[in-house]
Amino acid sequence: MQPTDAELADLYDRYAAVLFVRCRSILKNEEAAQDAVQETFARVIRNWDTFRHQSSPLTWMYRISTNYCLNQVRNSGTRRRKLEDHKAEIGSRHTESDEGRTDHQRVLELLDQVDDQTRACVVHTFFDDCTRNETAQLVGLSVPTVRKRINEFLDLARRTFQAAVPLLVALSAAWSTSWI
Amino acid sequence: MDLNVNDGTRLSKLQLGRYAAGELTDAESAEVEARLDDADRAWLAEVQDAKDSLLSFDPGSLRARASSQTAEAPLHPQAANTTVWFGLVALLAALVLGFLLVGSPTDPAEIDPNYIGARGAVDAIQVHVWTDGALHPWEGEAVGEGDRLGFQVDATGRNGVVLLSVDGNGQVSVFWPESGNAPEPLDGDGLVKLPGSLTLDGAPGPEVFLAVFDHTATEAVDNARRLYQSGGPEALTEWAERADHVEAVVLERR
Repeated sequence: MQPTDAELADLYDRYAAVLFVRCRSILKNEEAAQDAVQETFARVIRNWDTFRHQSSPLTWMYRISTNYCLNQVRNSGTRRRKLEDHKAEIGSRHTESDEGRTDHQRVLELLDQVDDQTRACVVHTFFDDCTRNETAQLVGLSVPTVRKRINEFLDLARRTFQAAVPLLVALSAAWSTSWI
Repeated sequence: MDLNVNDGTRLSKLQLGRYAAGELTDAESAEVEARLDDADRAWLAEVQDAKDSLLSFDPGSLRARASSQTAEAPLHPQAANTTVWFGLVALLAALVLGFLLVGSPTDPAEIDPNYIGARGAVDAIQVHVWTDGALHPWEGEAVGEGDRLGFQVDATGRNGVVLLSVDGNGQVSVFWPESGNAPEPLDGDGLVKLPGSLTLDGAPGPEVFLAVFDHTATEAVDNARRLYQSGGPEALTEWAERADHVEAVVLERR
């Protein structure tokens, strides 16, 4: 079964902007965020029979868009590592500076080292400012497990950055406000 | 240390999002409104402003995107049935007859003499290796960390390509496009050089390089990752053999 255009239009009007702002804060890229919104709605259509019975459509969309955004981040980070020499030799076609993204990229690269569920816990906790109960509901884990996963990630961050506490506090604050 | 994890004393963005989307009951909305602080109001204003930035609602485009993944050719064998077999025999007979009447569709004289690749008579993905100050056609030798590679792909009838690899650890890496989800644009027909080159890391092999044409990077990566997990490098090369929009070349690693 598929949604009608009217049903889709209503969903788009209600949810697209919320999703866009959220994806933009994760991806730090407006074009990528637009793409993430389109992909989320495409998946709503593909999974309409499941989606239309959700008590909170936004919660379902958050799960889908989280996975998609994190996969985009993972692909982007991998690309950057391998193409580094290539860019230096022929000159980059992109004008964005690496300097302002260093901290953001460092944390996102760190997310690439943990499993999918831990990544989702971190995103919901620090990007969405969710309570542990909300995070547990979104990820499908118990609250104690969410707490454990977050602490494991913070330990990894401290070992990796050696100054992770102020880094993560600063980044958490930055992501909570305007993305610009 | 909790790093100021939300303990429920403030509204989360999920709650604000549900409020903005009209998911809450009247009582829940009233509670949210009573707790809004300046940061919450700023975020809600950002959501309101974002409505002007959104792509226009296009149901046709969304439906096309939704069906593009479900329309992907099945990647595991279908159960055979008698009707299918009779149809295949008839098709095969027609192809053989057509071949005998028309001759080979490929004129060897049209093949670029630099084609040497690893698969098939006409290779849609070609590898070049940097040696002695220039890129030379790959000749099948094992490659290793620090080696620099360039790629050409056959752009005939194609608009874009995602070039990625899966190494011996199952790590998927996308090289073109350099950023974003849209494939690297291809202009013209025939062999097209992809801009720049890449330098290999120390990952183990074999490393399967895939050119996935006219699909997004996410679709290409998701399929590659899934296939590798189910069947290793062989599953990737079988995908390339089966799907018209996928080409593969396997490089052994030193």
